[in-house]
Amino acid sequence: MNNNILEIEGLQVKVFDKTILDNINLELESGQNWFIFGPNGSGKSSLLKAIMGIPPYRVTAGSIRFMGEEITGMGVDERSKLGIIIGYQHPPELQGVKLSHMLKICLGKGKDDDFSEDELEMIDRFNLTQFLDRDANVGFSGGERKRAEILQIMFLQPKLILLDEPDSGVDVDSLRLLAIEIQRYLKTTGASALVITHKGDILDYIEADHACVIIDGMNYCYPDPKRIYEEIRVRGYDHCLDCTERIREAMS
Amino acid sequence: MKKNNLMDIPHTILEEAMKTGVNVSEEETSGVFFHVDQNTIYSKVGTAFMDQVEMMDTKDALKKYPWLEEYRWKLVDPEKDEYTKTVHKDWSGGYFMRIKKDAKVTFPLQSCLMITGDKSKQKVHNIIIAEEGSDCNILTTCTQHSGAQEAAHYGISEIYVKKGAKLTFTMVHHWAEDTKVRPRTAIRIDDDAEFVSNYICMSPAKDVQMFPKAVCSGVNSKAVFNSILYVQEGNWMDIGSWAVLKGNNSNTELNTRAICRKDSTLISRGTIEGNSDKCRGHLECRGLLLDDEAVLEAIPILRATKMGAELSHEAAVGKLNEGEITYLMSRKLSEDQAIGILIRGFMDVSIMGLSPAIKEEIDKIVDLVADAS
Repeated sequence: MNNNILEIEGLQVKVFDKTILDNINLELESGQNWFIFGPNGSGKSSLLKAIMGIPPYRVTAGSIRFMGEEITGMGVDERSKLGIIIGYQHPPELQGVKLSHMLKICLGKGKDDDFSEDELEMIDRFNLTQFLDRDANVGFSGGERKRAEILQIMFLQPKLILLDEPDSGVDVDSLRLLAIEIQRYLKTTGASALVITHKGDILDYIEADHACVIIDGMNYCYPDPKRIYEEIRVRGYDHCLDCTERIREAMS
Repeated sequence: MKKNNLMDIPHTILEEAMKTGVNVSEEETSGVFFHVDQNTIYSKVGTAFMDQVEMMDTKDALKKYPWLEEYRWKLVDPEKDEYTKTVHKDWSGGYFMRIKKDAKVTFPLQSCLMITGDKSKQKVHNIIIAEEGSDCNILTTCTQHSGAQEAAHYGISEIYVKKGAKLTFTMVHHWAEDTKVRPRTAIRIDDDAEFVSNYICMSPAKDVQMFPKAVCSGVNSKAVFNSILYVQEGNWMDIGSWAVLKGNNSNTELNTRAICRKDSTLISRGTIEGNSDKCRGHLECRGLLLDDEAVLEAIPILRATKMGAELSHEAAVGKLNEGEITYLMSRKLSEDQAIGILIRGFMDVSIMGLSPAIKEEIDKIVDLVADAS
């Protein structure tokens, strides 16, 4: 048995009749973290949603295995209970559901249970104490939403974190705070992460083993994250496409 | 027959009243009023509030205070419809409440209008006067005893909120599945005065139609209508609120939360008229359909006759948001748990400042709805 926490093989994903992802292959070793790059609309978020089982993303070919178990037929709740947790890029506003309630759900606590001292300290570290009695995400700024989202993930104690642009819409200080907390969690628990990003700053905080580029619904090479980001930054995805096509030719 | 002691009232009646949030302990109320079928059987103001509040049957009040005629049928037109005509012709009493000038009534005034007889028609006329500078919370419950059938309730209510007064009027309807309900309510709000209405109808009623009208006639006057509705199997409700902004700098908020299911119909109306050079109004209606058998119509109307009127509305009806359900499922909740949490969130009434007893009763019903969904 291998040490992969996630194995994706020949994955095809459709939304209704439209193919969004095709022939995606990926092996994430337990304890490893990957960054996913790609231009807007290339299918990065779709990949995370397909791994999480979020409708209407439908696997029409291939397989997704989590810790050796095939999960393509499982519901979102089953996958989350296995230990796969997604951090939304745009989490929804939950009218009438207080942030404190959401955090207690993530901790497996009842609505009327109290937070422990450690939990309160962590809430405070995320600068969310004053938001506990507010409806989750309602009227929150981009940074506040991201902090609430990442804190929920920490409380859920995932084995695999799927992060969809954790650095979008957040200021430098919030990004540093979030990235340091994510890295601390990954380091201390040995959990893995797949992180979508368009920016390079987050690479300074989260240690990643590989990166991949998704273009037009297909994934390509796996070089060093910082190097590939630098290539994209300087020469754009067009160059990346040329490069990856060379790799594909060489591989065929 | 009129009772002198609350505990002399038959226990079955007290128990039904308690279900709607009436606190019969008398310890945390400023006064209690019971009108059962066609008779006022109990009316008493707490000793500590006797200088601040008056409460009695409207017929008795008219005998005691001839000037009360100046307040009777002045806001509601007796010729308005067949129900006002019926009550105008023949009525059984009702409550008269007077909160005296500058009185700050710390505990709520409570009234309970109950129907116990089969095919009984209860026809009441209520008058409330909140005098200048007063502040009071009234809890009125209208209920049908579980043993009664095919009853009807026609209620006229005329409410006056005078200069600088604040009146919070919470009405809980707790009818039976075959009750026909026709309240006719109008409110006048004077300078710097505020009227807050909380209307809660969570139990079935065959047929309810009401459209209370608040006229903000004073400068800086304010009217707030909050409605919490659960419309279920076989119910038909046509419910709304109407605010007329006449006074300079007057304002209003109309909020409705409604859940509909199983062969029921809800027509949720809201009308704001901006008739002052400077006035503001916002109307919000959120309706949740739990299946395809119910019908929910939201009819917001904004009518401005002056350029300075700022009126707005938001209305949204439909099912629970799939994205929100999925989001909660991604937090290790089952689909049923996720739906339950969203329904409870949708019906969150914490902002209304309701009494713990009423809130608890609402929570119980919302729990039943959420668990059954």
